[in-house]
Amino acid sequence: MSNHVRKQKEPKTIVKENILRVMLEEPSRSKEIGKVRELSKEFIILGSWQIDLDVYFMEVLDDLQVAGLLTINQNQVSITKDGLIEAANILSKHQAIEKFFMKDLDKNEAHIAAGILEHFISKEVLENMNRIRSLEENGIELINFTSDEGIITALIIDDTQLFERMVSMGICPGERIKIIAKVAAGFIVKLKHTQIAIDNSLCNKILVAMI
Amino acid sequence: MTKRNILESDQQWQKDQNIDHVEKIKKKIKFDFKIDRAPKKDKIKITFIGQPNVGKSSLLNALVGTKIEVSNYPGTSVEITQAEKIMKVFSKDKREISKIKYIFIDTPGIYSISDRSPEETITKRAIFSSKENDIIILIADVNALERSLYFALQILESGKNLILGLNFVEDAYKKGISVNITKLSQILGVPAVRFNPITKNIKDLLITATKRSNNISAENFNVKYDDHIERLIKYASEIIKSDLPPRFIGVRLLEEDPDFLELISNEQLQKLKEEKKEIASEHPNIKEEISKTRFGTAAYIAEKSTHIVKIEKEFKKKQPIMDRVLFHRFWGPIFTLFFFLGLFFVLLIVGGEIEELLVLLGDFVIELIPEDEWAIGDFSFLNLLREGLAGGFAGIAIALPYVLLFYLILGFTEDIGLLPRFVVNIEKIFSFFGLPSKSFITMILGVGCTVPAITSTRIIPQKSDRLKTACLFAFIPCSSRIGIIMGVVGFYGGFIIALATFGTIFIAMMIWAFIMKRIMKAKPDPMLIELPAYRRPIINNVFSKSWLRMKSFIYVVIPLLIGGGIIYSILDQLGITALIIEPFRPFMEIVFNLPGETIVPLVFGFVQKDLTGAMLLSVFEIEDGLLPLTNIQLYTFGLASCIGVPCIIALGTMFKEYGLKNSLITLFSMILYGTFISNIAWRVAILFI
Repeated sequence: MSNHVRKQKEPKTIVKENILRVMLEEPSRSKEIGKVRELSKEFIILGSWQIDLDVYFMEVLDDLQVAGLLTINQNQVSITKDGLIEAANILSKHQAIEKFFMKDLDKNEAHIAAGILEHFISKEVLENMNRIRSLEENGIELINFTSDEGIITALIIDDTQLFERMVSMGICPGERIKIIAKVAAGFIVKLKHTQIAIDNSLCNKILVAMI
Repeated sequence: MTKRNILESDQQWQKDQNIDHVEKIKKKIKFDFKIDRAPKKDKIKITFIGQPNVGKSSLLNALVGTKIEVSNYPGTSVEITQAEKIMKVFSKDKREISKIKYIFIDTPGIYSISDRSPEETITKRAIFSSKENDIIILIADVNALERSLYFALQILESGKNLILGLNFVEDAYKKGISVNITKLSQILGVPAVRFNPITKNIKDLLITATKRSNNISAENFNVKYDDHIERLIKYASEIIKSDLPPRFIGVRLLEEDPDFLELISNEQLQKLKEEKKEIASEHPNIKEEISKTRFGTAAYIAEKSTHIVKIEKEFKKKQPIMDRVLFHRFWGPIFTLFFFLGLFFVLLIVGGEIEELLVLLGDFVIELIPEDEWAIGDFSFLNLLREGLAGGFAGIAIALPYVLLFYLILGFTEDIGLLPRFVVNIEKIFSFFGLPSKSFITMILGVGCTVPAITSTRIIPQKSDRLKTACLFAFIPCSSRIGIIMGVVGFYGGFIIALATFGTIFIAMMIWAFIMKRIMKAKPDPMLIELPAYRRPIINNVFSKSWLRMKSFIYVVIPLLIGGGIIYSILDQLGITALIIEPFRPFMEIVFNLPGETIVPLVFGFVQKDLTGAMLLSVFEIEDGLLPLTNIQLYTFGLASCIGVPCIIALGTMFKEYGLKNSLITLFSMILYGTFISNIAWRVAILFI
């Protein structure tokens, strides 16, 4: 069951990504090594990761130079074009995650959460997250739904027994739904391989988004 | 998860257990087991559970023969069916080692264990009363595996000895869904076995169950909820001590299962609420989150263990023509209406013809009894026999043509899968009268006989809805009442008068339903019906189901009809029936505009509805020929005898289902309402004719 949990990244990668983030925020694109170390440390503390930066710092810096993302001239570190692209990628990920969490958390918390998750979430997962989020935003009541196929985004039902009944019949957020017919009393819908007749009053409480 | 569990559903498992093979003897349902070691027990209890319409009853049918009801309408079986079968166990050298008595229990189909309808309570009781070694087989429809898995995960939490029976595997394969059974049982930690009740491929399931009764699974799969919720479950699980797994108790308490909540004290409940409050900011609705997680897990397992090739195709598939008609906004209701009108007329015409033949036969038999022997004065014992036989024949004359024909047609409709679609079409009309759509099914049953119809109201979840529906049976003409209207009103007054009587009863019913809607404000449950795919009806199933429904009529109603005939004969010969005529004469004349004599069939009709016509003739002392009643009087008589709790047997059934108070209220309010309607009706009718 545990194979679907992503493996934790190496501390080195986290350090690497943090250094790139620091460099991106620097307008002059070059900085003293000591300053970079200090700022990166702040980032890591912010992300509440218990990683000893000093252990990896110099090693990672060398790696980055080899990869052509940074150049080190005496005591000055400057970021290359490739490095900027890489850093921008990380930043956009950070912002997307931050935005995702802004819904439920305050700004600072969302920032911290993003600081942690940006190292772990792949681009695909992020895309899916955003898709779900946009689906949730676009969900409209089944009764007003114009297209004939969609995805259930939410059930707004207070009666928990009814909620469970619907979920156990397969009417669950995330399920694909196809409207087969509209009858006087409600809708005939198809979910995977079952057809269900749903009352108008319930259709008001099922939010559906276009795929 | 132990290794043994993983292998159990496989051939490896059979090797491990030294099962040679299972052999059929004589009939297709008899299996003999050939194993080295005799099972430890000589009695194995197997309970079948599952969502509606997944094939529980067909499996039981395949196991023990055609004694069990099977239906294609979600939720028609409301009671637990039990069947027993003794099978022999052989060793490899064909030496019989033991006999095992299998007790199979079929439960009403439910979607999960936390709902509130009576079916769910019944099934829940069946599940939790099962002992450690008893087997529970959860039947899953492979076409919608995640839904059955949702239920399975709940049962697994309860730590019961579960086997997953997979039905419709071939069906699903044709649709492009293939199941990896080994993987499924690997993930769940319980055996999963495919079966097919139609081709009688059920032996693997039976073998697994037999073996499983000896070894109880070590570890079941558990759904992993959110960390906060898990912590709460752990807290809640320590509240009650019982033989159920603590984790299960914890989950049930958090899901607010009333059966479990009532076991804890107010103080404990308060504490639990406080604990919940602590995580309320992150988990405002724990119950909902638990179901969502469980469904998510079910969907995950289903996805992991099935391979779906053509889901797109399935979604793009055209609807059957039948559905395009039935789900049409205009043609759907029209079709439904015409179907039932057609059914009604078929019953009247075909049933009427057969009834006439049977009546002739009955008359012929009764004629054979010599007259005036064994008589003491005016009292003739042979008369008792004659009346008793007349009652019995009246019962058969109704049972065979009307009731059986009706239940056969109903059975076919149900098996094909049309019935729930009809329900969808009438839902709007029913909700207008404040009735749940499920009551339609029971009302149709009422056209056959009120007694099974009253029992079937159990399929309606809310009690107030059930009572509302039961009251309406006072208006739905059962076959006996159709007999009165057609045989007396129609025969003597003509078809139009009979039709007018039906029409008036129908209008009276609608008025009553509307009044009830106003009085009882409880809203019926919103429509949420699963529409099964069309299936070719299995003739055997249809007949066995019709027989099951007829059974109460034949075993209860017909003997009572015979008894009623005898009692009537005694009262009649002693002159007691005539005694009530005079006191009621003014009442009958003023209220009903009917001759005083008609009180006899009206009152005794309550005991013996089927003899109403004969009583009417005998009270006027005419054998055949014209009744001294005008058409309006016939119409009034039809109404007065048909509106109300139909007979003493129906009243008894009501008493059993709804208690003394409710049934007496229904009885008297219906007598009053029937009197009122009949009174108004003849006054209005006089104006027109």
